[in-house]
Amino acid sequence: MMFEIENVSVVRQGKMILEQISIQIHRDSSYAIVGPSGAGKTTFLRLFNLMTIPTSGKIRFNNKNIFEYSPIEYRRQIPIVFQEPVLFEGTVEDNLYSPFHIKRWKLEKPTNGQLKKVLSICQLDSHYLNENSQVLSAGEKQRVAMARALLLAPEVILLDEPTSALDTETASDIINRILDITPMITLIIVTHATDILKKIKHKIVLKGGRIESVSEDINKFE
Amino acid sequence: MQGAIDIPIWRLGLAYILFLIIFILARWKSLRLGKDLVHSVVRMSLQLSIMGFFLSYIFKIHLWYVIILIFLVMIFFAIRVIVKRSGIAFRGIYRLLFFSILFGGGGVLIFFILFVVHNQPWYDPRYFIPLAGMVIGNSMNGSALALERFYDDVKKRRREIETFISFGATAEEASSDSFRKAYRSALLPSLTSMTGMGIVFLPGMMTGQILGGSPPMIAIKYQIAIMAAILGSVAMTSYLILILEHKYFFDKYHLPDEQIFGLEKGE
Repeated sequence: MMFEIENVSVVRQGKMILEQISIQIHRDSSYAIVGPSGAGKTTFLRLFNLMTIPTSGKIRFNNKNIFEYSPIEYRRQIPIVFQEPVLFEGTVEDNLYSPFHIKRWKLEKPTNGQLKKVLSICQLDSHYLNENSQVLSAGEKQRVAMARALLLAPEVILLDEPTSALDTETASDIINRILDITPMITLIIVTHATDILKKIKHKIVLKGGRIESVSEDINKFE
Repeated sequence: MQGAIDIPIWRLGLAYILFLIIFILARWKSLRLGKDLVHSVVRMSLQLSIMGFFLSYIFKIHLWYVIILIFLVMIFFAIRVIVKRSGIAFRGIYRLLFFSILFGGGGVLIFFILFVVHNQPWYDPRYFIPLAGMVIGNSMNGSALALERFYDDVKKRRREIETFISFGATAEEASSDSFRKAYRSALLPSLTSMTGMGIVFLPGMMTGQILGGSPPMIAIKYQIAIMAAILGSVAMTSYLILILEHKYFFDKYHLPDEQIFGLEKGE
């Protein structure tokens, strides 16, 4: 088991965002978080890499309480791609390598082969590398952000509506390619796209801050 | 050289003619500055007059604890000005500013008095009060700039900073650009002022000393030395503020404090 979330609640400024969430996430599988707007999907996703701090409850990662890790060491292992990803000033290449510039981790830069593979997964040609990241379209930014996360060769990756700015075909293709490497990676994704949902093994349905169900079916919601 | 010429009250009154001219001009052009002008002139005149009487009395007292008390009161008022001017409020801001100005500004001031001016006793109010005023006044401006710029930049670049934090960066690493910009902003006014000194303008302290009868070369030495102290205190105070600000602006998980910056989108 990779993650164990036990009776986690998140309260922010007096408002209950998530209430008594309990779930187990298994290694090397795929999970989709679905639900109506305001259900707490993004907050739930952010719990996994401590970008949201639970108000109560327990979270274990690889059988260890996540608060026993240093938060920065913990986050390094669990990249998240935000719904509206931020690219820093500079070229696409600068952005792809930005996590590697955090000196304390002394991460080895990926090889050319690894870079090519990730670019291929995210449908990015090598000519993108020298492009100014600030002039990219929303869809291109999302792809660069995904590539940036995948370059870290993580055990688990969190994606928050990663394909919202992409056309259905491109989105589906990219997710297919990520899922091809699922035997080596756990994928947790917030998505509404039914084409993508069909490919995800587990569906976690959130409603009103609570888990309504965990299944392999696509639950309909308003 | 003889001391400064005393200006009789009636001649001082002639200086107020200049204010009157500005007042008439403002009324004539409907600038709506009349009230503000009167308020500022009256307030300045009263405050300086009270300060004059106060300093005349203080200069006769040579008690170190009275001087330290005045120094602490100066810091307190400086903090109030910074908080009001910046418009930033969070729990602990007074403590942050107090320690930064006390150690940043106070440390430089003590060094300056003990080792550069080397007046005896060190608490001679004729030296301590004006020098403290200059050091704290400039530290105050630098502090306000450091505080405002860092807060504004972190707020503006919050998503970028959170992206870095999500990679496993510390809050300090993620906000290092904001730190640099804020620090630069704090120092720039002093650096700019130093560049024009002696060519574009003669600084106030030097002018005052020359008018008071000091030979120019002595006045210049004091001016150079006090500029070093001013820049030093602005640099130290701003640095301390920016370092300590991290503890308030970011929580123990390196995330932006919700009380100060509000909730992030999606929460």
